[in-house]
Amino acid sequence: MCGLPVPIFKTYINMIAKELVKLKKTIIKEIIIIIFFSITASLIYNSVSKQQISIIYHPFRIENDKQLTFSDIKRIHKNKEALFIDARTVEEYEEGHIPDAVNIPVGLERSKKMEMLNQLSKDLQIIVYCEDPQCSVAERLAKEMQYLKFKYIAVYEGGWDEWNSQINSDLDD
Amino acid sequence: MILNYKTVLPVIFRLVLGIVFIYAAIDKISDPYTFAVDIRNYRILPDIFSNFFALILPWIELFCGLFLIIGIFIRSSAIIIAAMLMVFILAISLAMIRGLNIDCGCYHTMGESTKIGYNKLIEDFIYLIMAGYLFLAVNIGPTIQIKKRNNSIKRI
Repeated sequence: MCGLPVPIFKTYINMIAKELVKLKKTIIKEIIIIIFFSITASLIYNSVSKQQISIIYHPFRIENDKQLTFSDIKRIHKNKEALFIDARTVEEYEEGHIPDAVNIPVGLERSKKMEMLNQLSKDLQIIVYCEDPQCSVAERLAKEMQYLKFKYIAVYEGGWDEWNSQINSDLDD
Repeated sequence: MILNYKTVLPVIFRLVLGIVFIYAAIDKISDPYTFAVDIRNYRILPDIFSNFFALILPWIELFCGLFLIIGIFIRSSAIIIAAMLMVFILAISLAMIRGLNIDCGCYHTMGESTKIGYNKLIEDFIYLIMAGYLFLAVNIGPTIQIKKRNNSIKRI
């Protein structure tokens, strides 16, 4: 049953390939035009946009930052050396979060977010986290805070997933 | 104009693909940073290129979507969309095989995200069929013809 769509798909691809050969010149010319327009527009837009990013990616580094392991986080949390910010949604935060963490969802209305962030001292040590190493919202919030001149921000990549599982396994031991 | 599936279907496909790709593009153009993170999460491209693709790809989607709707370069837009969809399908499949639980990077307005999965694969396959149909169909609906200028000067 699983093999049934494969020959149909092959025939479909063959038809497209034949058509491509027929229309080669016109199609290639049009594709080049579309890609040229896209590259030009994207570069112009990026140069004037507030959300500007560098064309070549340089790994994200925060001042005084290093890869934070769970034991670092546990120590910092225990000693209250930093403020923990949960960048996940309100629902996810309410389901469970690192104790004493403040919830600032990355998708929060800009004015509300700014109001919350402006209450924090720019010299505060801050650790931002989200769900797991694959989620992007913590890094995004950290970047936004960097633009707002917060000096000491770090992203806890393990996030809630790692914290939750490690704390539970510590309790089991 | 006779209304039957051969004349109506391409118009519907063009509108659907156009709207979906414009919507997805605007979302990514407004937040290239998050899209770049999503690209890196797939772990297919070298990280160094992630920002470049995060910048260019949404604009290709936007132009193709616009061209499909207004009726310029329809076949070329359809073939570019089909090629992009094949890449998306491959990327999602590889991520699923590797067991990555990542955001698909398709549309994530206001921090919402869609995880990769079979739903996403099926959705992309449907769009791929639509794009392929548009490329192959004889009748592709109303178009804007770009006429070639005749520069020949009649000498007396």
